[in-house]
Amino acid sequence: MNKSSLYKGCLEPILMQLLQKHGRMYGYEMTQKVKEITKGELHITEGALYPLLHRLEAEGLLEVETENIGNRLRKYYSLTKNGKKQTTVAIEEMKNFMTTLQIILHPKTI
Amino acid sequence: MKLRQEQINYLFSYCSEQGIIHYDVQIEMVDHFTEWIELNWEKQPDANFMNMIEQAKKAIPDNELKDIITQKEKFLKKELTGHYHQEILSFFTVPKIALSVLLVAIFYAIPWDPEKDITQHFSIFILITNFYTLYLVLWRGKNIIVKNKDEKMFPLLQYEKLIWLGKVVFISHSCFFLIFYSSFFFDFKTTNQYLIYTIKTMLPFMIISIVSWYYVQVKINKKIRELYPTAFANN
Repeated sequence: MNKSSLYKGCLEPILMQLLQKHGRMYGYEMTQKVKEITKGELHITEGALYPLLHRLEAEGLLEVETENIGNRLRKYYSLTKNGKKQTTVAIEEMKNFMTTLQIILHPKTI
Repeated sequence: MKLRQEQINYLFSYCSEQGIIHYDVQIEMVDHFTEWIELNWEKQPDANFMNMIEQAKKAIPDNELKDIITQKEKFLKKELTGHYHQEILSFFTVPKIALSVLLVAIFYAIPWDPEKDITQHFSIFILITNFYTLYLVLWRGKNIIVKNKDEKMFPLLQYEKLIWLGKVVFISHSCFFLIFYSSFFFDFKTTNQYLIYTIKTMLPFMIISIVSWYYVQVKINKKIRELYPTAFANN
């Protein structure tokens, strides 16, 4: 199994956490930020990023604003009120998931 | 290295060729490509624009672009329904809820004259509704529905879905009024209590639904215009 498949299910809480920390971000910025934080370990593809952002927007967890940045428009995403609440839940779920993985991988240490 | 306008236009054409024909999806992809090319071009200043395009195409393959548009279309209906719910909730403020309840009570209280035509019992309410709707659309909404339709320069996925939904609602409202105003052409009197109470119950809801629908249409049209100002002329 490659790394991307392992990270796939965690992409949603990762992005939501990023937005909670940085306020508003645009697509390319998110891919670069994740790459920077993980020191190149995690590379988010466009095919995974945008559908996820569009889904979260449709679910009312993200809101969009566009800004003219000179010669083009840029779409910025930020968390809605509901999105902020959901981020806490998603992070908590991820932590629980990681604990479960620890139990499976190192049964004696827990 | 910053891309020039004609290079950005080339990226818009490339997105169209890949099946991303809607401006609201294109702007996001073009911004992504532009940012990618600008940052990577700095690392290889000897490369030309077409070299960078080729590299960008490899980094962001066609199938991923196609996936993005397929997924966007799937979520857009949900997104639009979400906007609609959000706006409709903002329409129903406490005074408007009170007015709606009052309207239902008034309709029930109207004495029924079997000699009078059905339309005559409610014509004043229908007239007020029509005037209020015109006020909402033309005055408060600054004719944004018609303006957006006339001034739109690029296809917008979000707008197309809104128009489709708008047509469905417009046809259902028109059918209702057509039946209601059919008494202009046919004698439409009744003493049937069941029919009378059905009309008395249905009509206030229809009035509220028409007014709220146009309110929502104005709001969403304004939002689309605000989100994609460069997609419309006269901005």
